[in-house]
Amino acid sequence: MRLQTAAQVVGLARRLARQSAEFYAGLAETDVDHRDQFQAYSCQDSRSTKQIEQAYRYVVSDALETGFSFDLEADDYTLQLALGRAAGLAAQIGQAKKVEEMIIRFFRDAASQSESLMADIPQLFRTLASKRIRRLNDLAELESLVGGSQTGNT
Amino acid sequence: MPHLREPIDTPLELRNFIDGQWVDARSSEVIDVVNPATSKLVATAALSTADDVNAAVEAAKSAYTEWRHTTAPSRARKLFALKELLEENFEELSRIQTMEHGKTIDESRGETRRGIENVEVAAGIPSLMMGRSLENIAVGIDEYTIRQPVGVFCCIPPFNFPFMVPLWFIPYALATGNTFIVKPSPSAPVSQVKLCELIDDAGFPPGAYNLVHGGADVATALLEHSDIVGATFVGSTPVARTVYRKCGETGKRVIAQGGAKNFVLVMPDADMKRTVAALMTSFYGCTGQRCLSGANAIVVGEDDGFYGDFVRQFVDAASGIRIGYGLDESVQMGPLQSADKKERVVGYIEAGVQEGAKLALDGRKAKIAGDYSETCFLGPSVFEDVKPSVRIAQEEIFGPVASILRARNMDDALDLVHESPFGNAASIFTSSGRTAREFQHKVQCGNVGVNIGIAAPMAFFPFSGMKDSFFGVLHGQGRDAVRFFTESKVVIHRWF
Repeated sequence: MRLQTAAQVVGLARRLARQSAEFYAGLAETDVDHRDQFQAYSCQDSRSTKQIEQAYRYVVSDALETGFSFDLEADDYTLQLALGRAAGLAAQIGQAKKVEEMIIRFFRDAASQSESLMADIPQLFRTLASKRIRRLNDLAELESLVGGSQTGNT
Repeated sequence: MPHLREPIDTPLELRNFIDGQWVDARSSEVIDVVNPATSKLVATAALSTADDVNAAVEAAKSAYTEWRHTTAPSRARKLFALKELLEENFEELSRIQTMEHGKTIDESRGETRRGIENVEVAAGIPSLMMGRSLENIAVGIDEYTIRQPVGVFCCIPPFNFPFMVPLWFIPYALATGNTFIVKPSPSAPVSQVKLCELIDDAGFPPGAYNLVHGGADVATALLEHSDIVGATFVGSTPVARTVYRKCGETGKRVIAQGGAKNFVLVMPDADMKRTVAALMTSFYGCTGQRCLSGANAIVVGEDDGFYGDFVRQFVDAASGIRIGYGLDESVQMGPLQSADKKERVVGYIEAGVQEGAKLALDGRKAKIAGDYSETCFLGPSVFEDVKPSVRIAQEEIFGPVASILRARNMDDALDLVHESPFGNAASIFTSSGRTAREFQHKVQCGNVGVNIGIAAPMAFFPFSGMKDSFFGVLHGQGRDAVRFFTESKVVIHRWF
């Protein structure tokens, strides 16, 4: 579906953040060793949902180009979240990295197209993207540790 | 696409709010408030009488005696409470506006936000209301001004911003210690009723704020009432002129905002892509039913290629606008507010064709997203090669119709702007700072946009206007509103 209005894009941002929060909550349940890290990600994502909502509500104004600011395709940002509980940690981290990459791409695209809205919205999208980049790096680090230990086991 | 939940599922019976109570009007006549997208009844509003107005004025007069002596910080705290309530009810208020008016949910949320911003600004009243002082104007003598409330004010807002426009005035009137009566637009009164509930919940005393539903009779009764000291009005120019005259006759101070025919200059150095995107909001936002809407786009310069590119891109963008029920978040343009208003706009489209303008996009053939009757819907229309002398270039259409004109240079374009009797807003799209500055300096209108299609002032600036678009001296919003709602008293004192 084509996304053109600010309401639609904020709606998608909310949905992605919520899905991501649920995804990490699920990982926290299955992986006891890294529960704290995944729970923290889940909490951050829940908070970002509120931040997105607030930024939109605080700056949406009768003068802004809210109806005509975006041209994004929702299907381009579909998260692949289904991963069996039996999947190993390495596969789960690989999945998490894909989630992060997708959401980072969405935030960057949305930020670049929202220049005609007040700066708070693109600024928040960029901030959230940079936080996700840090998380992606942490996940890569974790992946190398896990990958190393798995190699050792085999 | 599914739409958002409607906050009103059974039609409401709207009553008056006088002296802190919801009361029936003295007349049993009502007016229907209909959702223009779905054609469903949203509410019925009382058509009140002069007696209802008298009761509201009595209540406001009585409340004024005490309210004016309330301290400024105390009044400000009530506005803080109101601000919190507005935030809590943000979404419901916005959806109600879409239901009563037809605008998209993004536009309604924008309207709610601008309304709240005015409450925020007025909550700074302890600072805003301060007077000035000078010690020793003569030896041992000091002089200072104090600002004091004036009395009972009224507001007659329009249908197109039914929630926001009253908030250009209400927070400032109450913050400065006055009392207030609002007569909502009979076409779209529901969001005002919700606002009234929140004002009551915020703890304003009975009578400080009153609401009387009705039509022209109620407006006349308010304007002629000798106990009302000032009036604010936003609507068409002929009515604004009448309001101004009536207020003069009865000695009221007045802010009367009239109609508009706003020009947008597109210079040859404009960023075409971003200009066209901004102009979609300007010309078609709120379905063209806003006094800041672009109406005439003047493409400046003699480059036929540039003109052709602009027209092509403008028409392409306009023809892609998604039209439907505003509670569907993917919709970019809602219906006109009523079938009558649509009929009026269609009349202008027909007049444009008859007068020889080229109809590059015909909004009468629009596709509507969803299963809705065409009753109030109209798509975007674009006329090109429009001569400045034709009606569609001169009169306020108040609908989604764009006229594209040409001018050889900026001076010629400004001549066209200045020939219009209106002076509400004008914008220029250019990448030259020098050109923009020259435009800002020369253009005779109240709200000026540079690479901005809708030059809507934030709440801490006045909503300006000139010529036949504004009658009065001070404007709504910000410091102008504080001055409007207060009297300056000068004190010169000496102690023996």
